[in-house]
Amino acid sequence: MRIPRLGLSEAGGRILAWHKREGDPVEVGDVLLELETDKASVEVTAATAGYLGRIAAPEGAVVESGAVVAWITASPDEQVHAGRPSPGPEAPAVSPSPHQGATSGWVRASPYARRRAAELGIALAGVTGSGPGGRVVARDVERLARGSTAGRWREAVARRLQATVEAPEFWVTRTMEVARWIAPLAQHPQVTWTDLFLQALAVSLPAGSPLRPQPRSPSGLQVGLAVATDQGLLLPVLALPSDLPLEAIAERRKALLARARRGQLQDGDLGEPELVFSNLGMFGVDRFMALRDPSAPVAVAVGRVGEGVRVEGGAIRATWLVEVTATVDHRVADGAEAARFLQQVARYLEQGEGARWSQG
Amino acid sequence: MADWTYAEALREGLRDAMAEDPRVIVLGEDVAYGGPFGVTRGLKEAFGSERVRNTPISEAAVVGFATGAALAGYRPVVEVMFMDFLTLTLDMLVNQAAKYRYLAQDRLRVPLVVRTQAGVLQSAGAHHSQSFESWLVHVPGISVLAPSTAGDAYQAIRWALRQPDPVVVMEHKALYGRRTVREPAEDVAAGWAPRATRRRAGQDATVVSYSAMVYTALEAAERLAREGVEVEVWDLVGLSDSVMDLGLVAEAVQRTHRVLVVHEAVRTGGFGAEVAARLQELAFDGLDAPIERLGAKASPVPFSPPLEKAYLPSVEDVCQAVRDLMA
Repeated sequence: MRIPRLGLSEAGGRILAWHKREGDPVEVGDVLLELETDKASVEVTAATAGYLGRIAAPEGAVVESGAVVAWITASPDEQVHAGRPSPGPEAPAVSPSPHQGATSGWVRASPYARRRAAELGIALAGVTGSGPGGRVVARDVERLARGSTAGRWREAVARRLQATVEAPEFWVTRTMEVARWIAPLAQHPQVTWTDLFLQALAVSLPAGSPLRPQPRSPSGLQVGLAVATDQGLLLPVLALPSDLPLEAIAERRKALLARARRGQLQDGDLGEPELVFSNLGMFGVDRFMALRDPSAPVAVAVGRVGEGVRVEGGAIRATWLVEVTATVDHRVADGAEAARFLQQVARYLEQGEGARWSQG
Repeated sequence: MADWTYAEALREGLRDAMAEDPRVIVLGEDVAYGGPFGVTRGLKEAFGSERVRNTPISEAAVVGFATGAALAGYRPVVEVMFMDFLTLTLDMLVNQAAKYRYLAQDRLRVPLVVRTQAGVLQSAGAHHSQSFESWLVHVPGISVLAPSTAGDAYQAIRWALRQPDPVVVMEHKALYGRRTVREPAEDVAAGWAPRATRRRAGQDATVVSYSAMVYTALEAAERLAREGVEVEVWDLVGLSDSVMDLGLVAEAVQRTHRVLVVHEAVRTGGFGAEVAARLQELAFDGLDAPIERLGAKASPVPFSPPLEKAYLPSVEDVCQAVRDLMA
């Protein structure tokens, strides 16, 4: 039983709680443990049925992706020898050979990494080495130690945002008229402006368009939703097929946000976004620029939907407006392509055939 | 004089020592004419042909003669033209000069100084380019110095002539013409001892070297700095057990956690092995990577200029070794 690779999370996390005890029967899909990663708390489920034979990493342990944290055995009384340096007093009836035990417990680590691990109270067995030949070097230990004490998400957010700061970026803003949505949204109180904008984005960014050259998942546009939680800013990912009705978008979005706020994001919630979406309109913000995630070539920031005027043919007309700003990685797309993307969004919102509702 | 060359510094060291101490004499092939690199130029004119003597081309005889002179109370400085031919003197050096004080229970002393030219310079070929310091440091009783700067070259001569035991000063052919800033006179006074000196500061890796390779290491450090890797460069100056103290280098290793030892001598059995062994003894739990050693290829020194270049560790070789250390 290894810690799976968790989407955005590169470095595993800290085991918050085990949901099974040694000897418990395990079905495929059972939640075995809760892991705090640099993005969120994630429930890790069993991929194999059997019995939880031995837990190698206790609650509180910091473990890397790929680290063995437990063994799942075929029978409840099967002994697990792997990874045990010595059998100890509770030695099983058939002892493993001392040689085998000694080598399997040995971690390839530099002397300095060993010293740092001892100083920082990190178990070397849970560290994945980044040195030559997979050797654990000091930076691996220190990275884990930082994560286990200071809250991994903050470091991760800083690291990822830093990566985008170094990229050439530009910003494109367009004011869009959304008066025609006031009434339908009032009739569907469960659907919000955010859901409408998400649908507009899913429709406006078909696979192969300049800002989405290679779709990352067949499940639709991968939208990272910037969510403020007690733990700080999170970026869970919502999969948006372009034909998803607004009610379904609302439902999925709310479920995702609820999981994020409860700290219970699942593996599938932590993919790499193709677009980062952020809406600060509810706070009265008119316009802002969102930061991208390094994996997303574009971030879309939506401000307040408010009353304003449009001038057409010399006539002033009162209407409802919103400012949409795209932050674009210039290595992926140029200004005209970004402008055309916003044009698509505006066309959908202003002239489209109407939203896709699941019912009338 | 704001700066001086390595050869000038050696000459001045000899001149000052000869002026101070009438027991100092200079022997060697062509030394009365200035020697092959001009180090002894003018000494015969200043101190006379009794004290500055040309010798036949018989290194064993010259070092034997000088050993006897040292036992008799002189302070001879022998120039052995090319370290390659130190091989001919080894019986005198190893079995006689290095042993007398021990065998005579300190009643006899051999204050012999051997100056010799090591290293590769412009296709001197397989017999005139080698670096044999690791043979010498294996013999207790001989001190070995390998100065890289003019200041240390001056001091090495002065220091060697104050010792009661044989000292070999390894001069590098490629350094004779190199100018370095001359330290103020007060710093040139007593108190100098061959000790590891940091030539450049850096926190990412420690490169340990000596003699001409110090400059290769420094050049590599500049190149690496442009890549964002700050390397500190240490110059050992003294190599033998009697004069080497790696304490400061070991402290540096506890900061950088990575060490590369670079020298011009062939890597296998080279002096870098000794440095690496000592540093892991002193700083084992500070090491985040195995200590790397870089030396010449396992080959006679080639005459062909491109092959000679390929034989030596290059600036890029040092850079790559450091990059590998940082992996």
